[in-house]
Amino acid sequence: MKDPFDILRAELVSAAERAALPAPRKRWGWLRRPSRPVAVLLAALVIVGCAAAVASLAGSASQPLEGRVPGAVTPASLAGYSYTIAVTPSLPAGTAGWESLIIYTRTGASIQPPQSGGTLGYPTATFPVFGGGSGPDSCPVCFARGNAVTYVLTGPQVFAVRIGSQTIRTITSPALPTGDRAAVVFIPAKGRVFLIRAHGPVPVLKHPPGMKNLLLVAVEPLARSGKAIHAQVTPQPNGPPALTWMAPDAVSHWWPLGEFTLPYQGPGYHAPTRPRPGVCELAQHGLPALHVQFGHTIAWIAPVPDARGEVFVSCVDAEYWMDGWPLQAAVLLDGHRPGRVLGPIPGGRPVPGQPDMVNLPLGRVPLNYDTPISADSPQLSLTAKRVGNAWLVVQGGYGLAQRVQVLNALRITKLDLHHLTSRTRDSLTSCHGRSHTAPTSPSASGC
Amino acid sequence: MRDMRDERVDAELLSSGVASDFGCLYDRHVRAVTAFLGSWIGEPDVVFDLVAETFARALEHRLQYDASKGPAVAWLLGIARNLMIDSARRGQVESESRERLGMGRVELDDEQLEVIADRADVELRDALASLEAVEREAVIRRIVLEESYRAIAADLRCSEQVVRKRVSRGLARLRESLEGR
Repeated sequence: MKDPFDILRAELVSAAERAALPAPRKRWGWLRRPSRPVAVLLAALVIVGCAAAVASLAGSASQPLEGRVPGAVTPASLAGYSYTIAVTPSLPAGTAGWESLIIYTRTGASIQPPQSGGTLGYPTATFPVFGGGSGPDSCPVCFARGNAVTYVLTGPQVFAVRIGSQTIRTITSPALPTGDRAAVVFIPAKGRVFLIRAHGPVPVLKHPPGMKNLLLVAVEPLARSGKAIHAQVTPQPNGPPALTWMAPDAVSHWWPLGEFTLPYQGPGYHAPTRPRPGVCELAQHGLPALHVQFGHTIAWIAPVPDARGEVFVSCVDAEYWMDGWPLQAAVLLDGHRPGRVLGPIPGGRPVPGQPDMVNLPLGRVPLNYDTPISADSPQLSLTAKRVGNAWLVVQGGYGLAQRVQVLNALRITKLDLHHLTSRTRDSLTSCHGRSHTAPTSPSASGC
Repeated sequence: MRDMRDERVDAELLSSGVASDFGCLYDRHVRAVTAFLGSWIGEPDVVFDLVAETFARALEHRLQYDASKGPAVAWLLGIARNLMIDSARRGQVESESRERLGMGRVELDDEQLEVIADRADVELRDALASLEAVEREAVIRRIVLEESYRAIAADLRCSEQVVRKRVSRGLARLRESLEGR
């Protein structure tokens, strides 16, 4: 195999030998066409401590996490759309933290902008801004249309954020992890916003960008006293490596949709129909149409005692297939002290007739930008069932009824809390700031 | 000082008219261009196509490079960025420069696609994060957002020369960081 970059180099050098050098010296002018009407977006990363100014962010009180985009309603604008900012737990085994997204919807609209965002992480004492997004992050169409919403997620210690010259007070909400806060800002049409995530795994950003409506924005967290919180980027520790497993017949049930066709990447482990030995295991009972495909578990649980606010850690995830629909399942434990009673699912609403379940309705997501959402579009909504001191979560499927059916069929057959990292055991003995409750037994009462 | 020397050499490589000099310039910046494109584009074949067209366009227009406007890597990233936007809009990667130069399209097999994916997978944001805050801001605003040196300088209340130095130094560090990965 010849390195393609070497081939390209040889091609270029040959071309250079052949090339007659062009004459006119127009300098940089040729690079740009007269106008580039398409707005661009760039992913966002919160840069702390920079001194960039912001011209277009107004107001000092955070907007709510759910509302309507203001501004004149035009076909080329998101004005008039309803928006919802949702924070969901990270489901992959071994991960701890949150993802976020913003959903724009409009009643009767045949075309619905896609969900966007994508934050993963949790706030710590030294890095309280753990994510945010603006919709444009992964939605060029949203940004090209102008009016939109951006948001910053913070830990409990942040009472305001300074964005350029504006100070915006943060709010709490049942839609946020317990204790965490958020600042939500409307972006005027043609306004420019640029937010960059500060740390954590990279969210979905692989989209062709435009880059016109953007401005580098510094986000500075402020304490209750009004003083800036000195933020220091410290990489989050790696969790335990995931142990991948795959059901023997899984290949016939791949989700036949775009990027989801290859959910499994890694060394194959096809033989067992159940996870390799790990701290958590899932099994199913009484639902023949439910087929397990692949999943991950972990050899030990690595809590995150440095996290501020509520945080969950996933100890097993699995992909199921039922009646043509993919569903993702996971078992979540308290991230500070696995085995302790853990907090609510942010934004979760009671499920009628299922007293131990909550549902977080997030709707369907189109497969491509600006394409209609149909009955075949995958679901982002998730439903969770409290099982002992864990949340059993199912996301996707065709709807709530199916997720309830699956939750009632799944069993947590193993939950071994004896395998905590030694670092964690040490820290647990000196746990501070949170109540101390003995972990559940390895058999996980109630499972 | 090193940055200035490097950029002078880049300008010389572009203006020398010696074919192998362009190869040297390619060697120096291909990783940065690939990483930049890879941070936005998921498909390795598209990334490679854009890299090829970026350097073909740079070759075609090499005499138009003006070192006083900024370092060569910024010029290359600007080309890559504009090509990326145009290709996103059109739904395909342009190949005009390669066609004019008589360059053939490189056929890629799976192994080669993996090589490209590896190179493109370098996390540009991590590299950016490793820069000092003032350099990072200068690089992003000048190179990605295309703000003028004057505007950035006015905003930051410093001289244009200071901003130029930050951009130049930041790009040099970025290139070193990417080459080291």
